[in-house]
Amino acid sequence: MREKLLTIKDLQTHFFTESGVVKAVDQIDLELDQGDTLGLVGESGCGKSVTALSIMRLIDPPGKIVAGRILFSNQDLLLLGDSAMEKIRGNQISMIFQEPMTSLNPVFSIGTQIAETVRTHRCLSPKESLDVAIQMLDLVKIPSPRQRAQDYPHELSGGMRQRVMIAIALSCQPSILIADEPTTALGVTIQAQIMDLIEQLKEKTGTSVILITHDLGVIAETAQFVAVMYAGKVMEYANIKTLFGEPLHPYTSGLMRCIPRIDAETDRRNRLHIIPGIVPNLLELGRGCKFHDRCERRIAVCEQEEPEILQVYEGHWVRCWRAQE
Amino acid sequence: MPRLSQSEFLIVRNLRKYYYTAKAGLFSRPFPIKAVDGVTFTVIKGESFGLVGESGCGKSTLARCIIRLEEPTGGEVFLGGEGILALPKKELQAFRQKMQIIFQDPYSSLNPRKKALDIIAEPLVIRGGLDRKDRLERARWLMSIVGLRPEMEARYPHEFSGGQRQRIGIARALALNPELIIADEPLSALDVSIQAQVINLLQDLQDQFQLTYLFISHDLSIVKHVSDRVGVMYLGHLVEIGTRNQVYTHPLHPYSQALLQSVPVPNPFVPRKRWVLEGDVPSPLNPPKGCPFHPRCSKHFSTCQEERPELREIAPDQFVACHLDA
Repeated sequence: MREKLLTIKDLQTHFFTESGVVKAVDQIDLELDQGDTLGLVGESGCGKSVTALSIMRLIDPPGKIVAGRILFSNQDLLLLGDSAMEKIRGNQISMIFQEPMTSLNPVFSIGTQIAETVRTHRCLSPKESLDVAIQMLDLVKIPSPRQRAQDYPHELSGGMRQRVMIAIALSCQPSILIADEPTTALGVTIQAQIMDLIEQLKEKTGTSVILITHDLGVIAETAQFVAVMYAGKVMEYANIKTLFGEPLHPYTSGLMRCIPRIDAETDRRNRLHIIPGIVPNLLELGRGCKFHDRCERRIAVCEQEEPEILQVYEGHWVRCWRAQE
Repeated sequence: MPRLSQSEFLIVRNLRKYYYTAKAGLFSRPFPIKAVDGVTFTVIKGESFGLVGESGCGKSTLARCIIRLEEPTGGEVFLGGEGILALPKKELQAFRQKMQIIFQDPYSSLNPRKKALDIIAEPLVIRGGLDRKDRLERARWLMSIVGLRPEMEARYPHEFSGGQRQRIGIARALALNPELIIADEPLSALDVSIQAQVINLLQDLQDQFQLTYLFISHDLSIVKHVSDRVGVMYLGHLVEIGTRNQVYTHPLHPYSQALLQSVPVPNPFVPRKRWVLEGDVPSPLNPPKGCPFHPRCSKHFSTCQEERPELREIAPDQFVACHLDA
């Protein structure tokens, strides 16, 4: 029986804008087991990034976490005071972002930036923390780490900067690393390097990962469990083989069928299966299922009432009126 | 599939684009950034030619040079047998009618102050030939064929979704009835489910209007789906050209091989048997001597460090720039 590292219950994060309230995260439940990678998959506006920022308590006004519990290490992160949360952020739970250039401070060397995180959370001298920084650069396979520690972010390529982000994030040996689209801005060969690195570090340091992406290929290769999100809700949750082998939610199966496959022998005359329509405007959501207007399997009730998410098979949760057919 | 010598519609020969930058101090010589460094390929009428490569390889610069949004440093471009690069600006308009471009960013490539219908009709204004009533009628027809509802014609770009804006861009590109469309990363800014819609639309339009496509993308899965033939670029060079099946099934160039097997496959049941290509793409300010790929190539030998390999036809219609195949 493995330890549940993180449990999110009934999380609601809303944005109070001039045009109305946007329920970016609308009652979601998630959990992360020790040693796993949990994938959060979805398209724009689905709430995956806001979920991550909510865990880190990095939601600024007009956003607000209005309800829910985030249980980590025997406490509810949403009940902690700011200084208590600061001891967790970057230390026990870390995050890396999509655009490494905008996440790194351009006027400090990379060594200094890694050392800063170390000094904040551990009582080390400047020299000791710089030594740790150099060790971290080595861990993320940056060659000649002692020299490179003095480089500035603009002197590094995108892939190298992302490695520096990972070094900062792992410098205090967190139990959880949240990676928000870590490779979307990088080319495919660099993406492979970074995903490989994260896998190796996961094994080496025992860190568990929450991986946020829209790329089903990346998910298939790295995640153990996946939550598919749409318009602020989890539509389906299962282990990776179940999700790909037997997707039950029409959005999940629609998404899988509409992507061009590098492993498929298709003639270019074949049309791709499509999900008609567009991602909904979160300010104009109706009463029923958030996906119903694009769903090829909709029935009358779908427009009237939103389904609950139900455990249809063991470990397989689906939010759909027709899931059990 | 026709052999290459027939119906060559777009011919690019030894195209070069260098950006000059002063490196240090007032008196040092300018350093060239060789964004495109001698690219040669042809596109057959009616086909889709996919150009792939990672960022910085020069594919977008190449597209902009072909259409003369930027002026190439050297080389030749022929469209339908006629040279484009030497044309004075006045005569360029005639070619712009035949050759249009769709851009990556549907946000910045549309004039935010114009309504959708006017954006689509604008090429018709510039090119002349139709009165206002006919222009608007044609623009409305174009809106319908790209799947935009007529009631949207008076809306401004910010009122559309990304996919819809891309449709406006496509309609605009079709306004003058072009023969060749260069699509420069037309899907990257779109959600996955919308990408599928736009891919299907582009395929349908190609069939309907007998269009020729030069489709540029970093997404190898998309390029596999849409292309007849494929070219692979690295650091300003074309390193391989072949049919879609040739390049995807039996890539010859070590970089093509690395690229293809780096793509994550959305199938957790298949074991991952990938090797990771190490190292970074070198800076185009300081490209390696000899073959641009040799520092990262596990198969390189002495010649690779000295001599840049030429793109050579190894098998019928299959080209590769690599000393291993010499």
